[in-house]
Order: sequence, then structure tokens, then C-alpha cells
Amino acid sequence: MIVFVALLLVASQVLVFLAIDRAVSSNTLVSVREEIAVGERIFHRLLRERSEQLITAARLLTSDFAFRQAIASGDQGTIASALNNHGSRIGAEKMVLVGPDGRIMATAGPTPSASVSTSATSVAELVAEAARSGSASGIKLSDGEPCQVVVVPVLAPAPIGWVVLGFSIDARLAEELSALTSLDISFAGWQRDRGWALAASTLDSDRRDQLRRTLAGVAPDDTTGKLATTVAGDHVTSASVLSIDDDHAVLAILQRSMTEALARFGSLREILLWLGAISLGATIVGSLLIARSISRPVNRLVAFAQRLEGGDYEHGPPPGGNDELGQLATAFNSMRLAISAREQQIKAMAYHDSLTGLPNRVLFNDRLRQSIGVAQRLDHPVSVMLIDLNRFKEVNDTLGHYVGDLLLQEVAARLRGALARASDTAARLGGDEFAVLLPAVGAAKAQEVAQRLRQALMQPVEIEGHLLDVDGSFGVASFPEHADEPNLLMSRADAAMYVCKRRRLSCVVFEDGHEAELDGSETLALSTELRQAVERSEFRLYYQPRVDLSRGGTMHAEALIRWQHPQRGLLLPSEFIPFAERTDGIHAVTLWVIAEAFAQVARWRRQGLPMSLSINMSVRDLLSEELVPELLQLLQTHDAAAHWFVFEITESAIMDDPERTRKIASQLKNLGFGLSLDDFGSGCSSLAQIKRLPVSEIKIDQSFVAKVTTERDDLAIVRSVIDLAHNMNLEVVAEGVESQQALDLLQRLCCDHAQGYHVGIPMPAEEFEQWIRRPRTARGEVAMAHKGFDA
Amino acid sequence: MQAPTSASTLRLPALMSACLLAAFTASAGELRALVRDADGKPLADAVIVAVADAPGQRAGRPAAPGTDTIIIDQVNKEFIPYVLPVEVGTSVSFPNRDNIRHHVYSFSDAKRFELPLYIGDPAAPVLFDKPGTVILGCNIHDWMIAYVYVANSPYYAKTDASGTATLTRLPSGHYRVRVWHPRLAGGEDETTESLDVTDEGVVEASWQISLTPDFRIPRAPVPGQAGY
Repeated sequence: MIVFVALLLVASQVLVFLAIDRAVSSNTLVSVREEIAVGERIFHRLLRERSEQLITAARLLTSDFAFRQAIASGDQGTIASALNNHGSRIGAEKMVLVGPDGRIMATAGPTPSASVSTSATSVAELVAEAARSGSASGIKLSDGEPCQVVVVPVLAPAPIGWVVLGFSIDARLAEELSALTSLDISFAGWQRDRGWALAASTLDSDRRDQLRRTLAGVAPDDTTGKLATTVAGDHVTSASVLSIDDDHAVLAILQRSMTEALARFGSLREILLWLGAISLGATIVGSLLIARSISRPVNRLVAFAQRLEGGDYEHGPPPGGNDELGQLATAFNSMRLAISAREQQIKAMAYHDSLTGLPNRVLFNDRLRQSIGVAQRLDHPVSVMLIDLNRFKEVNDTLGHYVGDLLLQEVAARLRGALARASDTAARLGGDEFAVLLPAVGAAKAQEVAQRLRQALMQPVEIEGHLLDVDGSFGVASFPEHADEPNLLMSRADAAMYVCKRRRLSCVVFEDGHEAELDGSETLALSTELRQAVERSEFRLYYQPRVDLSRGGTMHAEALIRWQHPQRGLLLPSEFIPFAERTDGIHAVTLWVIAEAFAQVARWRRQGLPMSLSINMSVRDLLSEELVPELLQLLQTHDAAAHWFVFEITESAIMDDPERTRKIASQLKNLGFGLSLDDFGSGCSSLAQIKRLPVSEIKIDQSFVAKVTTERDDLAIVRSVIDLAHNMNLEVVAEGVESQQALDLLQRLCCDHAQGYHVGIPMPAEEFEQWIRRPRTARGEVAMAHKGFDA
Repeated sequence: MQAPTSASTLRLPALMSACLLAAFTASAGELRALVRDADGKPLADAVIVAVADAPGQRAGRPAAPGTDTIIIDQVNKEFIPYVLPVEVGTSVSFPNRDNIRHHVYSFSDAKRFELPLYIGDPAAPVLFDKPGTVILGCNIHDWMIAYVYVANSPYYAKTDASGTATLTRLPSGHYRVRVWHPRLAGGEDETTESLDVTDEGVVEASWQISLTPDFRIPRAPVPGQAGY
């Protein structure tokens, strides 16, 4: 972060520096150009002033009487020497006397060979100009050297001749002009036959050479523009043509060095660099200080958050000030406390039964393992006791889940109260099954505890105005006597409990024969009994009405089987169907149910009761290859129509063998049977699979419907299922409707059918007939102890 | 030297021409000249010189009594007149009427002379014995200039402000007449015209001549009168 800030700063400073540098450069260029322009004006003015001075000097010279006398003498020698003498007085290099007729009368000069004859024509021009205006001046080439030439008349007092004086343009003049204009000044002469020659210059030799090279490629009449571009580089250049004719030209080149001009800004650049260095240093120091005040507390908070992540809720965050970080730390602390509390809650939920508050199976097993671990080291026994409430389902079914729940809570409270020691654990394992862990207690002692607990349970309990008798079956197993590891110990206690239940004893301690009794003989006996039950006509078919919410009326029912056991009374499907499914007995049961249902509906139809029926179909039967032919046979036998019946298939059936299920379901559909998906929502069937099944309706599992009026989640699920089903063109049946509220709600949700105790309990055929013929308002009797196949 | 006789030559032909015209018309011819510059403006100070072809024509030469001395004054730091035509052999005096000294000189080939600083009348007049133009200057005052035109003929006159000059008493005969002016561009001979003059007649001639730029040096400012 600091590095980034520093880099950012460096970058911005570099940018600023470059921008300023660029601005300086371009400004410098502009100002240098201005300097050159100004310098050029000054230069020309100086040249002009010099001409005027020279003219004045020349006038003074020519008005000298002696000089005029000498000129007038007409003697060549006299004239020449007078010219030389007087010309030298004012520093002229070349002197020429031109007669009134324009002829050169005499020449003189410090360099005897010097002659202006090479530029006689240009001198003649100047003389002509002087004749017009009294005097003339100009820059001319003489012997390749640029000269400032002035022409004045010799008046006696009318002109008797013209004195032409040439003043060489030399380094001294260049220096002088350079000092006044602050420009580098060079004079160059051009002759047609010799080209350019640099006459005088304030440039150093390198730059003179450079200038010579540049001039070499430039025509005399094309200098101004070209030089400005060609002699670029370090110099800004301006060229002025001082004189030009066909064969000669004199050029003044004014230059300004950019380097020198920029040197003025050198100090500015240095200041900028210093400023940059100082602010960079300040940034780094500042960043370190910020790091001290921000990064470190942040790092401490990060460490704290990591501790939180690791599950350490004990320690609070590092102390913070009143600044933002302090507030953050406070927020972190609040978060820590909230998370901690929630975790406690989650733990409690995970390890406790929410209904009774007792430890659940997970916690119970955990404690069991701990106890056994301790017991192994201390060589103690550990006993577990499993308790199953007798006939609890009847309470539940008859008086409703609410009463059942209250009963379970009462049982839990009694168990908890009856346990003397803190180390003993009572737990609810599920349904009406409880367990008690008795560390350091052997089987015999455990049996005593069991008796005590039973005494506690057997006290009648009054719930919602109902006086209920409670009893339980107790199975006990002990470590290490009956098992040396927790799972086995539990299963042995379970076996003992079942034996106890079957034998209708109060308490049974595990014995070796118990498991065999449960697994073998029991099953064997049951399957024999099942077969006999068909022969002896011990099964009964009950009919639970289902109301059509959209159209009203009840013309459909679900067929539910009951077993009128000679010894055990009326058995619910849950009490024998699971056994039947484990053996082949189920097929006989199913066939009986279908046959009876077909016969009954056919009977009703003949009586003018246009009923249709739902029939539960077990997985095993569904997948049977004989099913379809058997159904056809039965339809024929009972003179029934397939469209009177709907087969209910559970989600689990689909999951077992989706492909085959789909195939048979399609066959049934083709025969005219309706198909319903039972217990929808309880399994995990994929929508894709449901979509592929030819079902015409789904039945929402009663676990959702039961709490649809109280639980928002369940309401959402039911609503979603209804919408979903409708979108798939399926009808929806709600099971387990237990109140008018639920019924109304479902109707509002556009559920198609409703079924449940509030609509009607399962009833034998005769009762059902009476029920259905009664006016709708008179229906809704007190529910009897009947339970559906699907319960 | 014939200076005394020739000194009787008319000093100002322009003044004379008007009154003499009627008196001498019958006895000699007359040339009336008009000189204009290139722009057509009448040109003063031009000298008209008529040279007779034959020497015998000199009969009508104006006779001048030698009483009057021909002079060029120096008044208020100027030569007066600016142009003075004289015949060869004429002496001219240069009296200084200013209260300062003048230094009159000439470097002209026709007459080189020098009258070093003097006040009042110089010791002797200057004899102009060669024809040609003599330019007079003052070595003290650069702007002072005057021309003495030394003619090789007795017949000459100077134009007045109206650009006219009248040559009188010309004996009849053939004349070559030329014009000179201080600023005449080109040679004097180029202006030559041939004219015939009769005793009774008045010949008129006119010239239009080109001039060189006026080259006179401005007067130096008088101290205390700067700007006025």
C-alpha cells in the first residue's frame, strides 16, 4: 500500500516535472523566438544607426575644406592620399572617389590591393541613390568580404564627386551587435562563383562549421525560410538578407541557443527535483506513520478475525481508540458475541430435541461413547435403557399431534425428574422412543431404575382435558456385560425393548436369544399370519374422503388397509406393511386391496355412487411384471373401469428404478388408470424425473400441510408446489388437512383437492356411504383411532 | 584685358527688357525665351545664351558703360543673386554685407579662386576669364551657393520667376541658342536650338528641360531661433 502510494506520488511528480519541463521548453522556444524577433529588430536598427553614423562621419569628412581642395585638385595621387588619410580618420577600410559622371576617379584603403571594382555596379547604384537623396548606405560584398558602404557627395558646394567609404563587417562588429542583441550573429557573403563564405561570427568553431554546412545547401534568395528550419537543433535561427543581386549576397544570421535559454530554467528544474525528493520522503515518512496508526491495528483486527474463524470466541478484539478502527473493533466484538451466542444455539439445536429439550440421539451417542471410554478405564459398567411409549400413536392419531407433542413433553419432564444423578442422561431418540444412559450402573441396578422410571411414567396425565394413561416398554443392556461397544450396546437394548413390547412386559434386560427372536421367528410368524389373514378375511378396507376444492363435493376417496388381528386388534398399515414388504406377503396384500377396491367401487357405481378411488401401490408391486395382467384380470372380474382408479406411487419408488417405473407407469396410464405422486416433498425426486412420469396429480406430503397455517416456510413450500404442479398441468392433493383454517388457506392457494381428518377420517365402506350421503355441514365427527396407510 | 568694357554689360537683363523693348525694337532683333521644367512649370534662374554663327554679327553687341561693377552680394548668409550670367572677361566683386566673415571659394575649372575670411568689400574683384560654370561656395556656411555662368557670347539673359528671358538687340543673323540651369540634367549643348533673328522681328523660343534633384544643403539653424 505504502509502496503503491509512493509509486503514485513518484509517477505524479514525474508527470508534473515533465509537464513543467515541456512547458518551460515550449515557453522557452516561444520566448527565444520573441528574443530573436526583438533582436532582429534591434540588429537592423543598429545597422541603420551605424550607417547614419558613418554617413555623418563621412559628411564631416567630405566637408573638410582641405579634403575638398584636394579632391578638387584633380591630381590622382593627391586625391588618393586625401581619401586614404581622411577615410582612415573614421576607420574606413576602403575608399573610392566617384566623379559626378559616375566614373571612379580614385581608390584608396589600408589594403592596397583592395578594390571595390568587383562590386562597381552595386556601388554605382548607391551613388545613384546618393545623387537622389544626398547620401546612401548599404551592405555590399567587396573582395568577398561584406562591407557596410556609405556614399556621400563632395560638395563644393555643388557635388563635385562622391566619396564611397567601405567599413568592413568584422568580428568586432558582430561581437558588438551580439552584446546588444543577446543573439549569436554571423555574417555570410555569397558570390556566384565561390558560394558562401562566413565572414564574421560570434559562434564557436563547431557551430560555425555547422552553419557553413547548412549554408552550403541554401540558395541566397531562399535563406530566410530555409535557415529557420535547417539550422534547428539547438539553435533558433533567423536569417536576414542584407543585400542581394545576381552575383552577390550578404546574409546576417541571428541565432539563439536553446541550451543557453534553457539554462535559465536550470535552477527551476533543480528546485522541482528537490521538491519531488522532499515530498517523496515526506510521503514515505507519512506512510510509515499511517502504517503505525492504521495498518497495525488493522493487522491486529485481522488476527482477531482469524481467531474468530478458528472458533475462538473467548478473547475480545484488541483494544481500539475512539476512531473508526476503534468502532470497527467494537463492531467486531459485537459480532463475536452474536456469533458465539448463535453457535451455542446451533449447538443446542444440534444436540437437543427441540420439542422436549432433552438431548437428541447424537448427543446421547456422544455421551454413551464417553461413558464407555471412562468405564473402560475405570472398569465400570454402563447401562443404557430404551423406552418406547405404548400406544402413543393412538393418542397422536386420535387426539392430534398437538396432544401427542404435549404428552411427549410430559414424558420427558417425568424422565428427567425421575433420574436421581446428574450423570444420568435421558434423551429422546425420535418419535416416542426415549433412552436413558446410566454410567457406572450395572444391569441389575438399571432394572431398578427402570422400575422407578416406569412408576413415574405411569402416573395418569391430563392434557387438554384428556386423562391419559401412559406406559412404556423398557429394554436394558449393559456394558460390558452385553456389548463392549456403543452401537452394539444400543442395538441390544433395542432388541430387549422390542421383546419387552411384544411380551407386554414392563422391563426386559437383554438376553442372547432376543435378537434371534426378533429377526427370525417373529418375521416368520408374521408372514404366516399375513397369508392367513387373506384367507381368513382379516383385512378391512377403509375409505378416507377427499374433497374437491375447486368444484366442491366428495366423489373420491383413498383406500386404506386395516388388519383386524384376532389377537392384537385392529392394526394400522405401519404395523404390518413394512414386515410384509420385507417378505413376499406384500403382493398378496396388494392384490387383496386392489380386488376389494375394484369390487367396492363397482358396487358403489351400481348403487349410483360415482366414486373413484386412490390405491397405494408399493414399489415392489409396481415393479412386478405380473401387475398389468393381474389388473386387467381384476377389472374384468369385478366389471370395473380403469379410469375409476388412481394408483399412488411414492417418490422413493421412482428413485429406485426410474426407467422401469416410468415404463410401467406408462402402461398403467395407457390402461386408463390415473397416477398420483404420493408424499411429494418428502423425498428428493428430481423434477426432471417427475416430468417424464405420466402422473396426473401430486400429493403434498402431510408434513408440510400440517403446519401450513403456522409455518411460513411450509406455506411457501405448499404454495410453490401448487404453482409448480399447475404449471406442469398436474392437480394437487393436500394430505393431512386438520383444520378449517388449513382448508381455507389451501383453497385460497388454489389447491385442487384436500384430504385429512378435518375433511373426513378413514371409514369402513358402510360408514363411508352414510357419511357421504349426509349433508356436507353435518360431516366432521370426532376422529376415531384410525390412521391412513400413508401415515 | 578687356574687363572695363565688358563690365558695362547689362546687369539685370530681366529688368531692362521691358523698357528697352520699345526703344530698340527697330534697330535690332529680339529673342523671347520661355523655360519650363519637365513638369511644365516656369523655371527661374535659367540662363539663355545665344551664340552668333558669324563673327560679323557682333555689330549689335550691347554697349555697356564700365561704370557699374558687377557684384554678387553676401546677404544674410546667402549669395545674391543665386545665378549670375556674365560674359567671358567680366570681373565680379563679392562684397560681404553681413557682419560676419565669409570665405568665398570656387573649385570650378572655369575659375578657381578663394577669398579667405573677410568682411566688407574684398580687395579686388574676380575676373572670370574662361567660359563655363563657376560654382561659388562659402567655406564657413555650407549652404551658401551661387553660380556664375561665364558665357562665351555677349547675348544672354536669365529667366525670371515667370520662366521668361528676353535677349534684345540681337543683330539679325543666325544663332545657336542654348539653355543652362544649375540643376540642368544632361549637357548644356543638348539644349541648343538654331534660330534666325531679324532686325525687326521678335523670335520666340521655349525649352522644357529636365532637372537634377535640388542639392542645396539646408541652412544651419540660427541659435536661439530653433523651431522658428
